[in-house]
Amino acid sequence: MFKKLLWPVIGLLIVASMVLSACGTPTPEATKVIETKEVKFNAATPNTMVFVSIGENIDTLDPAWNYESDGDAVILNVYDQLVTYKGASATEFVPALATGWNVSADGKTYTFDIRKGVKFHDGADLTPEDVAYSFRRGVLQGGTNSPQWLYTEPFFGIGIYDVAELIDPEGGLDDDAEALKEAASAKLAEACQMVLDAVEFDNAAGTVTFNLATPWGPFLATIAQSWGSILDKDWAIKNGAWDGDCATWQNYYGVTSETSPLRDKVNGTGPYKLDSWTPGEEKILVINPNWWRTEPVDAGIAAKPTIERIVLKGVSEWGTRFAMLQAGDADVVSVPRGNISQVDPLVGEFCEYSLDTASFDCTVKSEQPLRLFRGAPDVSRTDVFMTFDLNVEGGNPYVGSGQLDGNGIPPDFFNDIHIRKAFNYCFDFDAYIQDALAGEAVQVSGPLIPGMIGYDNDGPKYAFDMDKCKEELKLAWDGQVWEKGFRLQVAYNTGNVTRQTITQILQNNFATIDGKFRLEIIALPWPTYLAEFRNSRLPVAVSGWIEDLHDPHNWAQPFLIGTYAGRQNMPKEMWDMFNELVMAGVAETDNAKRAEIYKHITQVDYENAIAIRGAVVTTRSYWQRWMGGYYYNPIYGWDSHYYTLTKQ
Amino acid sequence: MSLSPAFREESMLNYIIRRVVMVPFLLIGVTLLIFLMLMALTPVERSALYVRDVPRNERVLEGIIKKYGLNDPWHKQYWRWLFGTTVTTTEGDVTTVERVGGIFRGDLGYSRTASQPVAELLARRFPASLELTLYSVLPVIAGGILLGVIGAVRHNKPADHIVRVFGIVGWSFPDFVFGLLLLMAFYAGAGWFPPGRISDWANKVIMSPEFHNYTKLITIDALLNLRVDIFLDALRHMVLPVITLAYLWWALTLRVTRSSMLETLRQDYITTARAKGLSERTVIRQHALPNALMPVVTLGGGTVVGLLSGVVIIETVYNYPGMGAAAAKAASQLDVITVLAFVLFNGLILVLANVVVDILYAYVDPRVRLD
Repeated sequence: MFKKLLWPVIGLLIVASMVLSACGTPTPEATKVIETKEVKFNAATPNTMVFVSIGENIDTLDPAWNYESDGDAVILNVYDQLVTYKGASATEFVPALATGWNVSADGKTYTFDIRKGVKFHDGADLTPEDVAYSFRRGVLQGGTNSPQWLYTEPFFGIGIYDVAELIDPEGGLDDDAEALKEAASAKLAEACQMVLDAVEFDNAAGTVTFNLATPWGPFLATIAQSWGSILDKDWAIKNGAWDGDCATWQNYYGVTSETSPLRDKVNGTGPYKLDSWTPGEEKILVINPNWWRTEPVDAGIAAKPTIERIVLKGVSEWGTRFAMLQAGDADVVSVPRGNISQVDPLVGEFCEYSLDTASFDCTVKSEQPLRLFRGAPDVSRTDVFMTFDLNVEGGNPYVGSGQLDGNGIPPDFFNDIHIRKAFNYCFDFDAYIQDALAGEAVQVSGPLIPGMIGYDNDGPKYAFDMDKCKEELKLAWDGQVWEKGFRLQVAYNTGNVTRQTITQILQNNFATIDGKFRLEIIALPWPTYLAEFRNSRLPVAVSGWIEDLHDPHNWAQPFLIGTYAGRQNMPKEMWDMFNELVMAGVAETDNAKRAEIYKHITQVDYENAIAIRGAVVTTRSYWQRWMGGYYYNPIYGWDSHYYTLTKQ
Repeated sequence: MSLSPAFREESMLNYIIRRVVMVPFLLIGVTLLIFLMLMALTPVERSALYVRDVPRNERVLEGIIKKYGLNDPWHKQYWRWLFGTTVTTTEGDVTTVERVGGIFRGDLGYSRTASQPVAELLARRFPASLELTLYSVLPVIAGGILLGVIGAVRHNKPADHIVRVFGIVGWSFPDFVFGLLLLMAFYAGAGWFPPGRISDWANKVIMSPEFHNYTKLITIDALLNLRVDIFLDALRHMVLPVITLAYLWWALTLRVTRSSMLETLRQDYITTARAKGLSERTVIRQHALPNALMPVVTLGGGTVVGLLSGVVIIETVYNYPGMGAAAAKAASQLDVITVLAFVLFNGLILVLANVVVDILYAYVDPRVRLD
């Protein structure tokens, strides 16, 4: 019997293998057959929602340490903050664990009334002391790689990135837990007292007061984030966090994400509870039936969660995610831009985003099972940075001969504004948006992004113009550049196709003008790229930024005086000029006045051609049509508050 | 000259002791080599592991280098990995110093890329790889042997040609593409065999306090908990990975078996057996096959080690949480601690597998001596 069956089976397998071989790699064409003939979509599990992202990369669930959007997806749903955004608005706030707040006339004191009757997941009551403890503990735990620097600046002054700098302003103790413990006990106590003074509470009055060192425009935006989450003090202490005593805080300072006692423990007041977290695989949230909220944050948004179980899964392979979407096992999946042509045929409902109304307008076009949200601007951007004064110590392989002899560039090559302008004019923005961003992006004006206080849609921006590029090249270095040409290397980190495309556009356009304008493209592994960029050794680097806060300061600061300005080795007089403007912007609490300051910053950025400001991608998100209740707020992106969602 | 059973057992025991004693030195040597290679990178380059994007403020990288001691001399860093480091705690006038970490203190360290202690990572991932191995090893090896024998016995006949073509196609088929095609057909299309290790409903049961995880092998634990539904669900998730592994790896086993069988079938003692009037089936099964299996034993050992260490592509395509994908991620992100732990673990498996293979040699072929 077995023998009789063996040959037909083997034969069939061979035929099948031949057929499969003929199919080749899974091209969109090959997939279309499956889409139209085989796919079934069933909302088999209406009480469970499954989000499938590109990977499960949570570093920690300690709100004081988490600095990743993956962590936010959990923390923003299991914890609450004092305030939250008013639905889709990126500039208005509504009460959350605070019922209201007052700001002093000088903009330096914020007093919040704390909501009564709120319970943590373990049943304990929320008190103003819990609120104060949450902020104090985070700041005292420190860590320059944590989000706590977003508090130390408003609490203690500009340029203070860590609590240890209250003891050693030079930063010598930053992140060095053992060295900090050696500091004089009086100094340690003094630093702790400064933190306590910055965040005060009054249980009897039911209030918490923040005393800032300087007026801080983005303060509400700062505390509305995951690092503004409120912990239960007793629970935190019981689980090994700071005991609340100024005599011991140094023992809790400088923890790493792995040694944080709250790395994998959660006890919030939020609409969902953490059921399980399997690092590298998935997080599972379950509904909190006792959540305190009764009123929606804005009209048309649900006030209470209805989906009982949220599964946040990481699947690195696109084909697998696509199969899960087709099988109906995934409600939402991350779709790489290069694969949208595979998914688009499955879309039956199209929702277009309007910047004016900050909402989607949906149109049903067919019976296909997916809904596509598109057109909403992202909160990240890729720019091209030119280093004003290159570090050539010990030799620099990226500058050729190191001289303006046609075979290299001098270290201060980009100090000449004509060179920087030439690079801007020689960059084809339209080609970039078409080739690298599938035509779905908007060129920005200046360092800010659209939809933000102070951003002007009609603000100044460079346009691709080869004639002007030539003119600037002729003016640069008193005509020497035009006469001799140049040779330099443009770097991006390996594997980043968008950045690679940008370098190719620049290379091609300069080569079109004349073969003596030579840009050599170099792909560096991420660690090397990071090191070389940081040490100001790359003449031209392509890099990106994802905002922490949806506030102009979070863009103006890194691009004009912080991270990127440092890597570009900006001249001191220029840095001083921007510093004055950026500080004026952050200290202003009146939004109208802030807007004017940032418009001026944009103008100055343009005139000095500091960098090639890129384009903001307009996002796409594919959902099963049985899902509902979604609204888009750029600061939360697609990792939203799940309590507003519904599933039929 | 035949060896007495007592002598054989003694020499085997000596052999095993010698190999086991060598293990720690071998592993330390390998880890030291890898450690030194990674130390060729600058501290800033190694700090990239802790920074997933552009540093958010100017002090970040210095802080990381300081916090993790990346600027320390290499021997100090290696020593710290071996024996841990000291942590001081002060409370008033009382200062206590304790040593934490170090592999010799049983702490494999913390995996940045997996966001959990390495020991927890291995404890979760290894059972998954072991379970997949248990269900794959028989189809992979036995299927390959069966096809190899058919090819040899039907040498140069249609069956032989078909088997060879089948093997060549399997060997040359990109495993990634084959896996995706199966997934599209049997999951996205038919909905039969989903990716992952277990369905969400079954996972909910497994995570509940009523379910006892005795072995961390889901199929076995399901049976021990009398949950046939979970057993079947776990099996359902392994069907496509096992088919993919089997089809792609049969080629190698069948080629080795076929050539070994062909050589054996040409031996004089096979001719003698046939001349004695033994049936062809008896000749093949009892005389030829056992002798032809020697190279297959070696190959089988390698196959098991490969499966236990994890198969990156299979794990990636089928989202199966085994060892391979975690190790690959750690290596690609320069996660020194995790890479070293995987080196230790895989090295241990390799050495043990070699010992087992050598012992199997001795049993399969009495002429082999282990002394």
